[in-house]
Amino acid sequence: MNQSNRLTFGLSRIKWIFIKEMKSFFGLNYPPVSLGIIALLCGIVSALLPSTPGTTYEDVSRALFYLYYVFILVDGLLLSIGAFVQERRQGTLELLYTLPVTDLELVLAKFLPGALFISVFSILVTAIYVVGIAEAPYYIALSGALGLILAGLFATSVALFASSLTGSYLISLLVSAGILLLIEIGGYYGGVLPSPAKEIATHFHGLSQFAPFARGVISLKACVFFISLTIFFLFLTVRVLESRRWRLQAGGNG
Amino acid sequence: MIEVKGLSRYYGDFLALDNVSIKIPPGEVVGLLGPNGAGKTTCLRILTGFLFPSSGEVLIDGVDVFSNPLESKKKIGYLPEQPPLYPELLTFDYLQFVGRLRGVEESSLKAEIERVAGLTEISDYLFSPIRTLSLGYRKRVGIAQALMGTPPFLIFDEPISGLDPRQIVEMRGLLRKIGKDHTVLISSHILTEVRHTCDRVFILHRGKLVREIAGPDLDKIEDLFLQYTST
Repeated sequence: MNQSNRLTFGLSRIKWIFIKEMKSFFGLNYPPVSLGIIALLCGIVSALLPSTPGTTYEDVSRALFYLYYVFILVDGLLLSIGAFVQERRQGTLELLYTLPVTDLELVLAKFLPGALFISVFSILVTAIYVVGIAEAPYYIALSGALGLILAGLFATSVALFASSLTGSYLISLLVSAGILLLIEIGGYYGGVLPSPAKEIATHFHGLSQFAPFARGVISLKACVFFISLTIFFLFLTVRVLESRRWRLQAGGNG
Repeated sequence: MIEVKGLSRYYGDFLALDNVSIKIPPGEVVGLLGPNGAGKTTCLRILTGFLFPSSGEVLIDGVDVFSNPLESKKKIGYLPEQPPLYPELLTFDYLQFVGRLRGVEESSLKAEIERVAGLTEISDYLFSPIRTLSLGYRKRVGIAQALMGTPPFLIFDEPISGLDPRQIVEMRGLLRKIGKDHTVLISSHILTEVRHTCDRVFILHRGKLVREIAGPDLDKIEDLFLQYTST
C-alpha cells in the first residue's frame, strides 16, 4: 500500500470514528447538557454586561471575551474528560485497540468532535452576544472568536490527555483542571519568580496570550502558543495510549 | 495459520506467560484451556495486538502482529470476555461502525450486517439500542462484530461466561456453525465447553503451555487436565 492510499484509509477511519463519536454524543445525556449549561451562563452574563452604565462596546466585548475564555476552557474540559474514560469503562478500548486503527487516528478522531463543538459554540456566542447585543465591530468579533477557538482546542487536548491516563471521570477532571489552573495561576503569579522562571511562567499564562484577541488583534505569537500546546498534548495522548500496551495489568480469568 | 513463537509476558516481576509456542492450523476450532490466572487472556490479548509481549513473536498468516499491526488486525475478529459494546448505539450502528473500520465497502456494508445478524440470530434486534439487550444477546452482538468483514481468524475470550444454561447451548451451536468457515480460538476454563466445541486444545498452567490435546485424546480431557494442572 502506497503512502497516499495509507493516508486515504487513515482519514476514512478517522471519519468513521468521528461519526460514531457524534452519535454517542447525542446518545448520552451529560455532554449536551453541560454544553447547554455553559451556553446559558454565557447568555446570562452577556445580557447583564452591556446594560452597565458608562461602558463602551470595547469594554463590554473585552469583558465578554474574558468571561467566554473561562467558559470555553470549562467547556473543552467537559466535552473531552470522558473520551477515553468511557471507552475504558465499557471495555470498548479493547475493541478499538484490536481493530485496524492507529493510536494517532484514534486520538484525532476523539479530538475532532470536541473541536467541532468548541468552534460552533465560539462562533455562535460571539455572533449572538458580541456582535448582536454588544454591537462590537466585526474585527473584534473575528479575532475574539478565533482566540476562543484556539483556547478551546487547547483545553480539549488537555482533557483528552487526562482521560487517556485514567478510568475515572473525577481523576480525569482533576488532572485536566489542574493542568489548566497551573498554567493560568502559575502565569498570573509568575511575576514574583526570579528570572528565567518569571519569563517562562508569564509566557505560559493562557489569559495573557488570549488578551490580544479580545482587543481585536490576531497575535501570531498567541496562535503559535495555543496550537503548539494543543499538538503537544495530543502527542502526549498518543504516547500514553501506546504505552498502555506495555503497562496494562493482568485481567480476565486467565 | 496463527503461529506463536516463544511468547513471554511480565506484569512487573510476575511472569504471566512463559515462553509459549503454539501453531493453530487453518479451519480448526482450537481451545485454550486453563484454570483462572493461567495466562489465557494475556495470550489472547497479545495475539490480537491489544498487549505487547515482553518477548516472542506472533504471525497471523505470516504477518507479524507487532511490526505490521494494521494488516494483521484485518485478519482477526475478537470478542473479549466482556462484550465491547456502546450501549447508547443501535445494534445496526455499532456493526456499521466496526464494519467500516474493518474496511468493508460501503456498497456491501448493509448486506454484510444482515449476513452476520442472520448468522448470530440478532436480526430482530438490529434497530434496538444495545443497552436494552440481555447478556446473551449482547454476547451475540459481540460475536457479530467479530464476524464483520469475514476475518479468517476469530478469537473469543470466555464466550460462554455469564450465560444461562439455555444460552450456553445456543452459544455452543453458534460457535460450531462459525467454526465451519473460520479458524476459531476460544479460551475457557470450563472443561465440558472446550470438549464440546474444539478440535484441538492447548492447556495453559501458570503461564506455561503444558499439553496439546487433539483427536481421540479429547475424550480423556478431564483426566489430562487434572494431571497437568494439579501442581
